[in-house]
Amino acid sequence: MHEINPQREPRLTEALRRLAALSPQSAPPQIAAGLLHEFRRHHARRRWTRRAGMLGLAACLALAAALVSTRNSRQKQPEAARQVIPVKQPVPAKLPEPSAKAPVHEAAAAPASARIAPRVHRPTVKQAAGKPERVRPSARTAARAFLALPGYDPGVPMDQLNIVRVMLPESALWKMGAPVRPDAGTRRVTADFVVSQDGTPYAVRLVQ
Amino acid sequence: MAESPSADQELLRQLAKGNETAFCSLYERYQGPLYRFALHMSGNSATAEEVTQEVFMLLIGRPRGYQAEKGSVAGYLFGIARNLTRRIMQRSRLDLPVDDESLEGIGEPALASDLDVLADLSNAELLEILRKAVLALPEQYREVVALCDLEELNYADAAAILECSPGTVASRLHRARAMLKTKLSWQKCMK
Repeated sequence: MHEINPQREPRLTEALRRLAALSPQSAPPQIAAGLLHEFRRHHARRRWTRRAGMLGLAACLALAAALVSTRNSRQKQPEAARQVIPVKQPVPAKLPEPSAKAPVHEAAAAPASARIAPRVHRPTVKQAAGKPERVRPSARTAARAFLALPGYDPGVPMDQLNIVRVMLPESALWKMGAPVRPDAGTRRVTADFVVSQDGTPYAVRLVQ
Repeated sequence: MAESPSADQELLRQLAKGNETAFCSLYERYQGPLYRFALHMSGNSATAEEVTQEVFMLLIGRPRGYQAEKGSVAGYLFGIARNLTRRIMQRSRLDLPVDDESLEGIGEPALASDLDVLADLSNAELLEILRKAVLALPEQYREVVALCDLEELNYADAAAILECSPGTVASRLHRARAMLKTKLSWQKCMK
């Protein structure tokens, strides 16, 4: 193989060179401008897509983390309630015979001696509002176990129970079947109640 | 085409990342040869513009379509231009195939080279005849004339673009020139 020698065919080579020289040498400038515009648009779109993808990924990860954390907290909550509520603890014998079910609203409607202090959050009211006051027990109160009230129903699932903190006279507690002295006066005490969805108190724990 | 392949590949890498300067460099480097190649192949400036634009649009859209192990960036770009030109010409029926009768008379190149048909080629009219003669060449011959004679690529570069051996390029070019001389002599006789 040998390349064509221009000396051998000088006229044709010269003519072809001249033809090449006379032809337009480059594409019109508007093509360059259009391509540059398209290049910028393409990469702006690519960058946007990449950012959106990363944001979507981050959102998915955050959602997954939130789901895992919610599931974990739900699993821990019933376990904690199960540990705190001594379901099989007998009601003290010295208690008077309260009604089979003593809802909290009955206790709230107790005689004047059992007036509930204005600051008291009635569990039933909280239930109606759909925002029961969830009490995070301190280490000290958590150490004390709940005492089951006569109305306790072991068939109720744990996730349907709420803990509410109320301040009420000791006498009202006695009427509800709580283990306080029958001659308790109007001294106000703070107590945590485990209440069902309909407000029925299942267990009590004295805080103060 | 004189640029080093690694420089071209680096520009292409940068282009893929969205580097505008790399795109401009690559465009400046290849738009002229690609445009002229498409123009000599099609004889139509609109086709040449379309091909040039499409080659770079493809590069913008799929910068990772190039595979270094298959050849140079230049070869890749010319390959795209070649396919696009062929497709556009088929679509617009601008291809001007040489009829068999005109090729039958072509024998040994020596027969044609004996004719001093290019003596007065300084004439613009004859340049136009030469342009038409190039366009009338069959595609495989027109390609080698466009690359080797008009773009002045060496055989190796042309072979890489055309995906054939340098020997094939040489023989095609030899035959193409013979055809050109025959056509020019015929045109001159007609005049």
